[in-house]
Amino acid sequence: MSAGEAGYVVEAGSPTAGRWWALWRYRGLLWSFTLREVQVRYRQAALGALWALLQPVALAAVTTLVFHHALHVDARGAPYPLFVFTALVPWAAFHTAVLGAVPTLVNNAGLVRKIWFPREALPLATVLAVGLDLGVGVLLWLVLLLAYGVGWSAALLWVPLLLLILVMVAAACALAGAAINVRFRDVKHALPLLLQVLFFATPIVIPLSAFPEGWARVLDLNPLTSVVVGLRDVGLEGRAPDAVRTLLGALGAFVFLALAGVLFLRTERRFADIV
Amino acid sequence: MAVLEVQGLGKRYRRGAPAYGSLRDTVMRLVRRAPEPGETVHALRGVDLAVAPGEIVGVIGDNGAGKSTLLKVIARITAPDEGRVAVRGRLASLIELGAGFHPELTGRENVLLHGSILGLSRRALRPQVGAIAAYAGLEGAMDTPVKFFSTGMYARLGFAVAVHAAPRVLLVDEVLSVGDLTFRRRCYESIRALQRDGAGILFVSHDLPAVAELCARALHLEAGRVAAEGPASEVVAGYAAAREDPANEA
Repeated sequence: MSAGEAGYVVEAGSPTAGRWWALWRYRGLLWSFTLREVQVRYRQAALGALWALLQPVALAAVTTLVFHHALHVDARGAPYPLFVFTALVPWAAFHTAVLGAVPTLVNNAGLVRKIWFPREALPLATVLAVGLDLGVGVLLWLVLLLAYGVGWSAALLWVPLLLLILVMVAAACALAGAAINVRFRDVKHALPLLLQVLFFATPIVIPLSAFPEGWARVLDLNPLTSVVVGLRDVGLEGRAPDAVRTLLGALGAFVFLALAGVLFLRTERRFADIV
Repeated sequence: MAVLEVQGLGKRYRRGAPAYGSLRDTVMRLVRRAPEPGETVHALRGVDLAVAPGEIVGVIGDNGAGKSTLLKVIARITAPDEGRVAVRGRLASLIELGAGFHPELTGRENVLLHGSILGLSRRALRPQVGAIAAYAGLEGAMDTPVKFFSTGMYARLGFAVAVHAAPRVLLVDEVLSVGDLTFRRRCYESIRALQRDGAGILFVSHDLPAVAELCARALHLEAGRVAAEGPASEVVAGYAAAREDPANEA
């Protein structure tokens, strides 16, 4: 049976339990929106998908210049450009995904006001579309590991798990941000600032071990820290990521995603009235 | 059993206050314990309605009587404050034709996108794209981004996709006026064909002769309530008479 064939019941009050599964039944729509994102993003762009690579590469060049050459930040043995690129690949994907996903409900107000569909498909499609950028970035990272003579090890098998944590955090921020943005247009002003704070609250340009003990604990509250530190462990050190940090990161990401989902479904019923 | 059932439906809005705002306003209001601004307006109140398979029910009423709100609540676009809606089978709404289209994508890509909004898989729809294009009279334009389409082309493609979704419940809201005469005639034919196949149709229009001709039964909405219900010709006549008699104008 295809989606929508069975009909539905709408009642005043809270969303029904079945609402949680609507996205699964409408996965074809999620895929369509994702394709639309990819098609629209790179249509008429001469460099095409190369733009996806340019962001982490350019950021890596600039941060190497500023933090390594000017400020003499040390990567504890690893080549600094590779050290920072390892963190910038997931960060650039996260940044692009959240910045793109938060305004999707407002940008597609015409759609939201005229047609029913699981609204979460819009922000989540943006996150999935950025998966392409992320994939290309990871491929370049793998090539750079060889180019810098670090080589590959079996620990790289942990990469998919670490990227899953990243995608969950991005999806949570996308859902919560998009829902709040419908009600409060303040989000537009707050978001770039919040992302900038988060950039420095993630050990991207400075190794976690260079932070004082207390600050390192605070940074560990950020699930993105487990992704960045984990990728460095598996890529640059060739060892499994720290079990406790990774587990807590995954758990934190999951809880965050669940809370964002609840917030989204609770506010969704008025989206069409106020968007 | 009715394919569409509406019981005690109510929907409230606040008039005079923008629904979205800045965080500062909300925080200040909470601090001052002030009530939300604006007065409550009932866009719909205690509306009951059932549409049987193969039935076309007309909905008439003045602007602001709640016709569009009724369709939006039935289509799940906005949630009701009271009551219940049950839809048995696929629903397609012609509330605004082509609302799901993305300007940068081609006609073909948009058909697949719009179809998946209606719950049809791309795989199921791909073989039908040719038929949909032919129906809309857009065979030559399917690889053109729809931002280059005219309003009529846009509407025709939107209608064609909705009809090909083979809905059990169809909502039509004053949208057929954009097409030319040929297309309009074909729209009415398609609505009749869906009716013969057992779809239940809710037809909102200000075109009273069309309502009287197309529908067996009609509903007159006034200020969110059902003011009259019965055979379409009688409801239409009653509404028209009330609007023509100056003594009844309030």
